[in-house]
Amino acid sequence: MRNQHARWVAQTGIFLAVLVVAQIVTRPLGNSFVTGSLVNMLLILAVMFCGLSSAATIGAISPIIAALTGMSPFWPFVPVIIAGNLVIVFLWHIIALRRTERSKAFDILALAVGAGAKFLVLYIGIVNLIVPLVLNLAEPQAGVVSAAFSWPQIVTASIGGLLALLVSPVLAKAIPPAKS
Amino acid sequence: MLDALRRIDKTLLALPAVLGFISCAMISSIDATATDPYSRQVVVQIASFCVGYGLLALAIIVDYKKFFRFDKLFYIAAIGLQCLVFVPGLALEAFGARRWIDLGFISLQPSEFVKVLFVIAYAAYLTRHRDELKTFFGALLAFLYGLPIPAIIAYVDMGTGIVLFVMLFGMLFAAGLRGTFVMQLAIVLIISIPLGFRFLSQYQRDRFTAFLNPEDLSIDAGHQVYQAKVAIGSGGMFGKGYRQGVIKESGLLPVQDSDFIFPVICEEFGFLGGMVVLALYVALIARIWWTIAKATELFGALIAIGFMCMFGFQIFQNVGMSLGLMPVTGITLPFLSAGGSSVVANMIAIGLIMSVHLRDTARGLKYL
Repeated sequence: MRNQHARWVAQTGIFLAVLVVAQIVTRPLGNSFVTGSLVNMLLILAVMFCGLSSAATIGAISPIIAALTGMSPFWPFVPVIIAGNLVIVFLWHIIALRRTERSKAFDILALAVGAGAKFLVLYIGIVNLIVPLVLNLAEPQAGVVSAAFSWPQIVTASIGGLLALLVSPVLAKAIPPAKS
Repeated sequence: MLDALRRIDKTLLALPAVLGFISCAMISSIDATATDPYSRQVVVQIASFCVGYGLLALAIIVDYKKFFRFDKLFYIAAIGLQCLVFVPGLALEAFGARRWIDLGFISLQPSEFVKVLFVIAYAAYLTRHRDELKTFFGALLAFLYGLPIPAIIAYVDMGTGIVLFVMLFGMLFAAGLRGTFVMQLAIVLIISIPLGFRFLSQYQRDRFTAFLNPEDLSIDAGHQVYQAKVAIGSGGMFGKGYRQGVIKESGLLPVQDSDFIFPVICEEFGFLGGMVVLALYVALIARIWWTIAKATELFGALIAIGFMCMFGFQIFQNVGMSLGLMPVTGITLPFLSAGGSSVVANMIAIGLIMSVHLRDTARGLKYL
């Protein structure tokens, strides 16, 4: 039991550290494409190999670290980004990983539904609620923020899912997948 | 004859028409004035689709396997056609790239047709030398055989050159090249990016710098992407309505009817409008993939793979550029962006894929 707990802490810590490093390293690119795709990939790999609780912890802590290190422009976005991360890991867990046998069809379904659901959470939360009600941003800036939380979220969540599916067979040789 | 008509891929036949309708409607929204609701560009676009459908029919009728014997002719024609942009008095330069030739009554973009010739010529070469691809020198030779055409195009038009490189790698990989060799080539290319930066012209460096510094609006390309994002974001979920785009009307977004047509669609029809367009593209790629999956011969499969890489990368690059996810290039959105050469060449490509589907597909999955 203690061994399992130690393993959970170690794996969660490693994935969280890799995720934070990925955010810092890709920051000079000044572009959400690489960072967003890597973050989504690591979240999905975490749920695959460490389980739902571990991935949810990483998904909840990483936006706070990003905001603390100045990588997120507005603090009010943080709860919504956490919700988006939780939704994508939960849906991957439910659709693709909780089954007795993994299947490509359900992996692709999880990829599509996860990306769509994360986008919806971010779009409704940030574009429809935070930007008009909390931040009161003027039109050009509101437009840019809205654009950042629309299409790019679907693209990065989909690419993150695809990368996770490509990387997972290699990673499975080193880490046995989590039992659901 | 009736059986052949029945076996034609009707989805592939219909998709360009649907995208063409959207294209003409959007170009009309962008270019039309109160006194002239049908701008010259709309007329050119409609004419291009008509000519394109004619050539598509021709591409279906002619057995694509007959092209196999003439691959060297296609290869030389591709290089010769592209070299026309170096002829003084014939070449036209715009936005820093030498893409067009002026024929007096019409201007043509040879690189669009070069893509079609390249796919046929390279597919034939790879089919002939498939066994040699397993050795290092065979693979290197195949890469070097394909290299001159993308390299010549990249010299005058970096965006289209990159599309051809993607097609080259896609076809090489599909022909049976070892994954390790592709990885080695990819690593060499990635390492050479900083070296290549020195050889870029000023406008290309500016675009790359703007990509890495999206907040710096003093760079022209950065300002273009900023306006594209404002247009996409301000459209919201359902858009402002047809011909109601504010960013579009302000003229702050450049080349709206070709390179930046996607932000205009999103501004006027919102996220859902953009989603419909992308769903149509997904259907297009899925149909081409289906043809590849059912192909019984390598030559036909490679032709379809080359064009799938072309359409897939162009869509990804153009939409990504509008969202600031990719650097700004002059790559058009297939069938939607204004441009006769692009439309006609894309229709020929669809015709060739349909020809493969008609003559070279089994009921079950064969090639993959």
